[in-house]
Amino acid sequence: MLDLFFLAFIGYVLMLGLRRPFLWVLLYVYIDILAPQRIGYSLITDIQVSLIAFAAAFGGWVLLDRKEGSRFSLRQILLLVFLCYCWWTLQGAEFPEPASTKWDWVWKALLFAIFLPLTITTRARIEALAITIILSVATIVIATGLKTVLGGGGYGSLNFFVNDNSGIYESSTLATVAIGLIPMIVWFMKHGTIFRPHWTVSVFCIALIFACLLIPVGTEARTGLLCIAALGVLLLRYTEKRLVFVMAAGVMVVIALPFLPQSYYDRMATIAEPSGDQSASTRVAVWEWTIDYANRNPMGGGFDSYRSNSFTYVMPVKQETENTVTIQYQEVTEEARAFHSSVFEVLGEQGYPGLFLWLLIHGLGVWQMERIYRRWRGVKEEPEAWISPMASALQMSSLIYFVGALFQGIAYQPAFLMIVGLQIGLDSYVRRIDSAKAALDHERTLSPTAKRRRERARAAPSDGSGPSAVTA
Amino acid sequence: MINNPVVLNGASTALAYGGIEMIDYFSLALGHGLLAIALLRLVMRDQLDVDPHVKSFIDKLRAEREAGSVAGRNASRRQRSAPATNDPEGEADG
Repeated sequence: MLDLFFLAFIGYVLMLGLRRPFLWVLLYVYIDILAPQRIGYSLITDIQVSLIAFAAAFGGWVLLDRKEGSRFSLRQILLLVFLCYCWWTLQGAEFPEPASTKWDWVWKALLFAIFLPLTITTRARIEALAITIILSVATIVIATGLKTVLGGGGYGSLNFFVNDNSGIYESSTLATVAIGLIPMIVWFMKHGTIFRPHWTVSVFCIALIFACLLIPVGTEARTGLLCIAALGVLLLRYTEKRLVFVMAAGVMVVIALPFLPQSYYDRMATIAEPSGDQSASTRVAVWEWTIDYANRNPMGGGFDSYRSNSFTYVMPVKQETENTVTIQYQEVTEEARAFHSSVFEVLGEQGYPGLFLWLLIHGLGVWQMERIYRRWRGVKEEPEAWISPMASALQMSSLIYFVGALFQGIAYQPAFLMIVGLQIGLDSYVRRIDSAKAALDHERTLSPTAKRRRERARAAPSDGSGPSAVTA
Repeated sequence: MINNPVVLNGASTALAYGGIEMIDYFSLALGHGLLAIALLRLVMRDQLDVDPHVKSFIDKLRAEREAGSVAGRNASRRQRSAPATNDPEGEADG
């Protein structure tokens, strides 16, 4: 039944795409984020829905799309170079088998991130992509938020649609994605045109934001709490009454505290005391190991190079027997500990050149969004008033992703690569507006003599071969 | 319901638990319902493929260029000299 539901939805979008092929791009985005083929039981697991959607998206764009305004940007080139570099490090990977398993999904995510901006050529498409990402993530977030409210939750015990702890269905990743999307949800409350500003839209968006904030609570993902803190700090920039904002945030935290379970406090306490938690303390050891590894392999060790690490250290282990709690210092040996940070993930796998490229790709995004925000800030006309808030929302998404990425290996996470695609699309779009405006202004400043001269120059080569073409 | 969590993925787990949580059903229905409406609205919008704002600049630019060209000036002169035959309003937007 569930499989039929998913297949019916996919069929519905494929049908709609016959009229507007861009919808097939959105279908791939939906499938890549929600992964219905992993939620379903039988029929859908046998069908390559992801491949079908990608073939439709790419084929539709090549054969049917107008491609008006499609352009290849610097960040797409950097993504392409990064993709090629990843392939190159794969050839000499220290652990070829797991490396090729990771490569299998990484190249698809990177290729789609390169392709996606080519399709994002209009305001409606920017909004369409944003709403597809938000609603696909919302489907997971709403379920998780409701379960948290109704008493479920706990680190590693809250159930998602898919419980294999991979991709977006990993608790810290979901928390980062959910918090990172909050600024864009706020954007939809004010500037959406698919669902225009209305009290029903506002109620849904506020409920969704609340559900997003509940993800770090329900999953007890410490990274999520840091992302919320980062969001709060970033929002200060766009808040006129900062003191009121800080006080309101403090009051909300105080109100929320009694509703949090004890396990949540215990888990969050390990942020400040990493030595008492195995996961936190091994992170530092892995990061030190990675720097050492990168110095020995500056060009990278290929995907999953962390598998060669091993460290022995002493840490306190708490043992409870009846009424007494004893703490013993035991020697613990860890092998093949994951990077637990995207920066170190890229450093260990792709070396210093890869890390430079990765930082450049994301850093340029933050800079571009800042540039767009400043350029369009204060514009009140409806066709352009949405640009600056969208740029700031996408910038905040990037920065929140950075914070989350510092503590988990999500360097190639498709959802964030789609945000990169959205940023590139927005940048290309505003460049088009700027160049069209500049051409119009230039035309208006031309003297009649200059216009006549240009006309003569145009007419000259076409003399004898028919009327000259009119160009825009 | 929450204390005995049920998972959605995989035939084996589904059979073992014998069902799916209502919360998951609700969330899937809501998310897909909204997506379906959003996509339907998008299909009916021409702005999805041609951006009206960018197009307005290109149209203005084209109009400016045509107005400045000899052919454009001749055309507008012809229109002005014969207003009754072609355009009852007198002049079409250049």
